[in-house]
Amino acid sequence: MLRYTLRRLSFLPIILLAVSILTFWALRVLPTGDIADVIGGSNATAEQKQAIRAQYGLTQPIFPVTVSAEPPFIEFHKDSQYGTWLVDALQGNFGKQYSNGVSVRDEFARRFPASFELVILSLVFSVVFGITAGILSAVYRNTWLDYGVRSFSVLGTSIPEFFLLTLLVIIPSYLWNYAQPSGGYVPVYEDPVRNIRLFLPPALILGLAGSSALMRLVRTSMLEVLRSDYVRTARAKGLREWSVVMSHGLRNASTPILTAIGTAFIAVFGGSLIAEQILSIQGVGLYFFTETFSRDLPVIQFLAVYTAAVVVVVNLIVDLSYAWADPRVQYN
Amino acid sequence: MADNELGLRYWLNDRISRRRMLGGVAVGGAAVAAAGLVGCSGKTSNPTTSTPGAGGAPTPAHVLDGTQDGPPTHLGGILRTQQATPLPSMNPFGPSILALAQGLTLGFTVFDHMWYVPTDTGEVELFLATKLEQPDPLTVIATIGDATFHDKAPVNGRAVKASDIVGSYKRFAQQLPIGFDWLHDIMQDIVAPDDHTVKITQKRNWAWVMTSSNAGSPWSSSIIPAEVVDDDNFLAKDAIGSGQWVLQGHDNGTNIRWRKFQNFRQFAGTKAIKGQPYLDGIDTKAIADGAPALAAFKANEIDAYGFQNKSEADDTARALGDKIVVSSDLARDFYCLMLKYEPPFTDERVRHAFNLLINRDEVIKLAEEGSALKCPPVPPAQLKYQLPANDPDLMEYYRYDVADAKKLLDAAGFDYNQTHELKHSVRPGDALISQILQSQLQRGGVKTKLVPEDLVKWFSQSLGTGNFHMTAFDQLPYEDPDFPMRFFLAGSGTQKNFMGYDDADVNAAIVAAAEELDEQARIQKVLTAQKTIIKKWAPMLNLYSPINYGGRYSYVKGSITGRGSYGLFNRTTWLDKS
Amino acid sequence: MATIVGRQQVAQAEAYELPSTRPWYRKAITLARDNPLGTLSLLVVVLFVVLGLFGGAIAPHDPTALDANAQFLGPSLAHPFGTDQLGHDMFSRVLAGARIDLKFGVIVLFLGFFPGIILGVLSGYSGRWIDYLIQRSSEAWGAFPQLFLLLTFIAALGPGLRTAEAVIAVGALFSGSRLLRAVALIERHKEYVMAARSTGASEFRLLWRHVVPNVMPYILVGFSAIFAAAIAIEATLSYLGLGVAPGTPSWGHDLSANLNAGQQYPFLVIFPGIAISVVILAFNLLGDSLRDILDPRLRGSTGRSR
Repeated sequence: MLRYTLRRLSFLPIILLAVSILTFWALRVLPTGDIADVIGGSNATAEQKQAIRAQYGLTQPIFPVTVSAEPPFIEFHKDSQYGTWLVDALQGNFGKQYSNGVSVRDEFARRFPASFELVILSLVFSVVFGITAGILSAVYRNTWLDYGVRSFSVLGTSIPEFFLLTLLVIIPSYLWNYAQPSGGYVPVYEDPVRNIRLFLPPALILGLAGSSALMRLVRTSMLEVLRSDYVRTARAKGLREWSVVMSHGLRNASTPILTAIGTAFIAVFGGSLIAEQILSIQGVGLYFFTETFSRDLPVIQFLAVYTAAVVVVVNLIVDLSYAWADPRVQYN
Repeated sequence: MADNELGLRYWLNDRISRRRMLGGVAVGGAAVAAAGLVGCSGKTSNPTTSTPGAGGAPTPAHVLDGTQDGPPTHLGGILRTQQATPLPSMNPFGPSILALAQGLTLGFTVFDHMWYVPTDTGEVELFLATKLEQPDPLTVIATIGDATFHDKAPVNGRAVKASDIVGSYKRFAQQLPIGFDWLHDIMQDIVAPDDHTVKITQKRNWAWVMTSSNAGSPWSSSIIPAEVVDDDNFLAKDAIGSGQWVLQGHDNGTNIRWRKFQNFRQFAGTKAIKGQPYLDGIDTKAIADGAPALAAFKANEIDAYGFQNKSEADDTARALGDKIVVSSDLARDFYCLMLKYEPPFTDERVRHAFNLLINRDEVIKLAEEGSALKCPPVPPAQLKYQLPANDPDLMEYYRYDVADAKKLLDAAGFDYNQTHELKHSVRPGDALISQILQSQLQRGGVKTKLVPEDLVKWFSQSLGTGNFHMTAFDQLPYEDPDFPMRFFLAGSGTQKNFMGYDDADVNAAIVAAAEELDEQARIQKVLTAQKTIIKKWAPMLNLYSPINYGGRYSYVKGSITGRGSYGLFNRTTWLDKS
Repeated sequence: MATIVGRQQVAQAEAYELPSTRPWYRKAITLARDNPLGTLSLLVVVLFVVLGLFGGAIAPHDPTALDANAQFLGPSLAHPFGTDQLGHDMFSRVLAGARIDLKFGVIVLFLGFFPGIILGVLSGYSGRWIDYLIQRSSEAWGAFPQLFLLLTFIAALGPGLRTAEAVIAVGALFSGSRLLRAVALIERHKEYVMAARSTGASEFRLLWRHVVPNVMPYILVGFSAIFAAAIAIEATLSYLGLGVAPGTPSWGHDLSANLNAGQQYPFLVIFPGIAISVVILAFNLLGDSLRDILDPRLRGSTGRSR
């Protein structure tokens, strides 16, 4: 188990390195978004533009190694853009925003709590909805409860989040002059009521969207388990239905469920960007969105690596929790 | 030309969700955040509509100003407003294309100025200056009163000196790229003979020297302390000035918090400012989109809001009753269709025909629900400089006649099979206008193809470099009649103007007005210049200036509305929540 | 275990290889009767495709025609979904809006899903290192939230549906390959394949004659999933202003274009939103129903078994 964990962990830096190289390449080699056009404006001369590029270190070779078809075939560069970035990144310094020189790391740290709360709250809702609905639907299969839960779930996957979030803004205002709060972030310890007003409705919406896949999976797994021989045995022994469901069913269905929780996390993580955008929540997702427009390369670069790190770590946690949930799983 | 200003606004709008700009809130670009600050219409800052203008000006619903609310019983309160656009930086100097929003937002709040010329009166109003002399047309001498900077490191509340003013002007002159003709071409030098005197010399006569597009700009006349004026690292994150508001804090350009500057202009000046500003502070709330902002206004989470259009204002007024006050202003920005000076638009008849095909009434109805005024070469908000409504040239400019247009096109041998590209940015306002123009031109058999472009690309690679055949967009709100006319003026460089248009008569008429120092004579010359532009069918066809609607809760007292940008310097607002 | 598999195969055979004594339409009617929801969703999908192809022509008004005398009209007989600021007939725009989604979906199918199918069958059938490579890349790609991936690529390539098409197509490529790989893995060990192989049939022939027809139903399931996802992405991007050009009839764009007016005239937001939701719902339900029909293990649990 420990060895497996370590081996998986050792992959983490490799993946992050690969992602950072790819993003770096895509953001600099692909043709759009020359920062010199953005900052210099239409009247900038070629020299001025070059000076702007130089100011942001964009005139250096991109990677430490360049390969070409002509001699000297392979060239090494001491001061490449990527090399500089990597050395800084390893020291926890992810550069500065082009626009105002604010440290990307500091800005990220400021925005992280809002996104974290939104994502975690949404994930909790999707897991609670998903598992509860899945179990109910399996235990009371082919009843109205089952149909209701399943219709709800399929609706949850089908209605785009942005539509529900838009309605969340418009409808209460149209009917009752009530506003879903938008803009700003108030930590829960400062003003719990405002915090809950801010995060609860979008988290419910994102949670609903994230829960439906989970719900279906729980239902299928539970049905399978409930029909298995050992559950029949357990029933025959006279155990009560709910205790059979909880002790045998859920535990044995846990592996696919954990996978689905991982998937739900990714869904909620992506959805948080839309919620932040519509409700002007100053979180990481909105950061990604606005800086995409302004092509603030250090920010996009960092956020791409951050996203990769989150995804990889979440998958790792899911994998490791298999063993905890199902002792039959062996890692070697 | 004014492309730097333009660039900033477009750039800024683009970096935020485009949806935010669907309504009008963002139209004013940079000034928007500031406009909301003082509880006047958030859309843009505008002069009054209650003054007789180019005809058909609406009567504002309940226009209030500082004097109509009676003596304040309890002064103070913190005003909450929407901030639609995050400021990328706090640096008023740039990086160049970014500078306008931050420059204006801080210029109206944190930084003080020597004087200001409100667009509606056109008269100089002294701010920090106590005396302004012009011994000869080329010299301006200002005497400044006693004032201190905000008490923040490294300036620590020291007195404002004339040398600070000189340093600030010089840095603006050196930093801002072309677009500020006065700073670059007209100003000869600026010096400080002593701590209380500033002397400006000019290279040649320049009638518009005092106005806000020139030496009195709310942006480039900002007074910034010498300690930080060259420190870009400091300026990027913080601001110190001597204006009425101290920048208390912000979250990387959003949720800006201002607090009252207790020692604001402590001298016996021409205006009583004791105790002003009345408000304790202003808090902005980052709400990018119009819909959540309106919802927040209706739920009283913000105190003031700029409506998208009249029906939204009416609807909200119905919903909230006398809890809110709605005011309206005529904007100084204007929509235009620019034709590149290339075939077939080198033929005057084709340009005339295109103008005949534009039904301005319909454009206004569709785009603004009828709340707008048609715009001659000088926007209608420049009240003194309007041609009379019965002027034959003006009437011809506004005439809509498809049959006549076709006759002209036929006479010019216009090729109806050619498809004309109409480039526009994806800003909703521009896209809307372009769609409307396309269908109107279609009625004359003119085929157009809409080419939407990313805002940055459209500005920097299409408009700015003259790389378009036709383009339609919303111009900035300029503060004097000269600036909008300069779009027709051929400059000296390789790029004459955006359209590549160069007409000796038009050039001469515009320059003549700018160099005429006598006001009455100048007004006549501006009118003549406009008539020349119209008669030549110069290739920028102006469409309209919108009327904006703003709302605020009725406990917000003492707001100045209907005075354009001047309202942004408002010091008399207070909240009466008793 | 073996007996269970045997039973499944019988059930599967019954499901869509019914004795030829019954004409195909009888089979279809039976199938439809047993799957009312699936049938309904199939009808919606067909309607969507018809609208996508002819929506602009069927529409009672030109979806881009302006009318200064018909601004912000409420729903009525003349304008069932009302009109927007420019006097556009929203009903016509909703009809015409299907086109952009159909186009987007089809492009993603051709660019991504179909190559993905081939890749998947190859990968599942051949095994070895190709399989490993495709598998790992597919996992890595699938792990990222699509929106974040899209934003990164938009930052590099600029906004517009072209970028989105490329990114979503790569996703579809992988999901297609994943789906078909699993199916191919199962199929190639099945008795009929083994039997065919033992008679000396060539591998390619085997693939073409036996494996492909048997995986066809799964392709249909994948088809509807891809379409549902593509429509959701197009709508989201257009909503965020990263998709279609302004003025183009598109449900996501119309929803966002009317966002501000939505507080006065909620129908302007609600109708395009419902259109998106209904179509995605139909594709999802169609996929579910197909899965139910094809995967007999679940049939007992759906309440629709005979």
